[in-house]
Amino acid sequence: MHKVDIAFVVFLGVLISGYWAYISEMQVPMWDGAAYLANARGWLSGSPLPEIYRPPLISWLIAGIWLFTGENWIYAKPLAAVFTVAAAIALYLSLRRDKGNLFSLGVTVLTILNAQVFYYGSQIYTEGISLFFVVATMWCLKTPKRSHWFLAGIMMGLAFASRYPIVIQCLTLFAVESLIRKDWRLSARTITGAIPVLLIVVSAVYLKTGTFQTALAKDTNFTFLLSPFYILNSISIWGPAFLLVSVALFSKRTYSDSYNYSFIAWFLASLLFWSSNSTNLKARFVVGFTPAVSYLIVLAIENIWKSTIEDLHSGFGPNRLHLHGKGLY
Amino acid sequence: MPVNKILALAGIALIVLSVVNFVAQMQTISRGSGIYDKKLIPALKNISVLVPPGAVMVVSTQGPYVTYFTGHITKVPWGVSSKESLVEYMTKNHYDYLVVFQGSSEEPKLKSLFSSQQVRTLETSFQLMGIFKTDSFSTIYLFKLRDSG
Repeated sequence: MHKVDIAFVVFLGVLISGYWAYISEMQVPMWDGAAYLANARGWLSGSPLPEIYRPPLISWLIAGIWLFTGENWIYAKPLAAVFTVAAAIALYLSLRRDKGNLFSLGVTVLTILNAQVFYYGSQIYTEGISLFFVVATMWCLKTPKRSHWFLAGIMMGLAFASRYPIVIQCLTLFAVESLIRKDWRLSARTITGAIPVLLIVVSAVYLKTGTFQTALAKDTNFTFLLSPFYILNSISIWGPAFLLVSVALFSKRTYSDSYNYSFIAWFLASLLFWSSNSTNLKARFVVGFTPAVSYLIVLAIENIWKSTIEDLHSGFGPNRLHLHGKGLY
Repeated sequence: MPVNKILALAGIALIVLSVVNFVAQMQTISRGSGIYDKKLIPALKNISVLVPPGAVMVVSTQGPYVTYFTGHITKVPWGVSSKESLVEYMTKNHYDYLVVFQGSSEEPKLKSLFSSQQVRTLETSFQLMGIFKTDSFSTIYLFKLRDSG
């Protein structure tokens, strides 16, 4: 076992202990958590859902747990944390093959030790669950195995079921990887995987509620006049390391490896989407694309490390286009 | 040491700073979230004992908590602006029970009515059935509409 892998396992152990300690102190769920619990009761008992616009997957999972344990909110407490830890594992393993152990560890640690990710990943919220499915989508699309593109479609569908707007991030990843691969049969596999899951989710909610609503009307005011909220609060949300994102984005070396494209698009599309909402701006909405932010931060350091004096003077590295190139490590 | 290595180390220092910042950020986020409140769930369980099964409860705020922990359907009185219109709204819809989180209201026009200064004025039209203290949520009042029998 590589020593970086050992470090990752140790990190996972500390992370799990941290979550355990944090969750065991929780006396009450947060507002949305209570809504998902109430919806889980609705799904399980056949009574109407109190909040029909909530994505169903988390409530289905809670209802599934209650089938075995009996209804008690305590059993739902660790649910999101399990998915957040799974997201950490998926993120580490997905990057390790192409970017190396150390790069992968850096991105994973930076992502999981983001306060928004850790905190909302510990609550009965959809952030941790959707984070897992968006990372799993990325993982499936990045693997060379063709069969995994079908699985990516299923992951996209489940990302939608876990948190409706996150499907935009998955679609961005899918679009970029499809354009890079230019293999339309492969893309068709993903669509084939996604459609049945999407249909099941929409049908189940429609049959239960008589409608399909993805959000409250007051939260869906989109505008071309983008809000500066996430940029103004970027240092507070991601820490001073966020400054390195611009270094990565303005470095020519970043664009020399097509492996990076989906992370750039993931970050930009998510930032644009959330910033275009004029009435619903929350720091926790960054959880889904924090892996892309962390990736660009670590990539900036890799770019600087690999650059020559001439590169630094010109501000750009060499421009060699190659598919899925190996990293430093 | 080459310049690029120095810059890369500075970048790593920024990452370390961001991770160190994690603890402070966690405290900021969790502050005021109410997740450590030990009295809220017992209070809501007590309310559920006082309200007959199947009764719809009108709530000033915190609807999901009241819905889940009491097992009753809850309604926020959207568009209601005064005590009189609240009574009218509840009478018209056959809602008998009102749960008020002191000082908090989803409907902005009712914020002053549910404030600590005015909440007890509701007793002219409602019977006060219980007051429940919490650790970090506000004091909860359970009222029953007087004319509802």
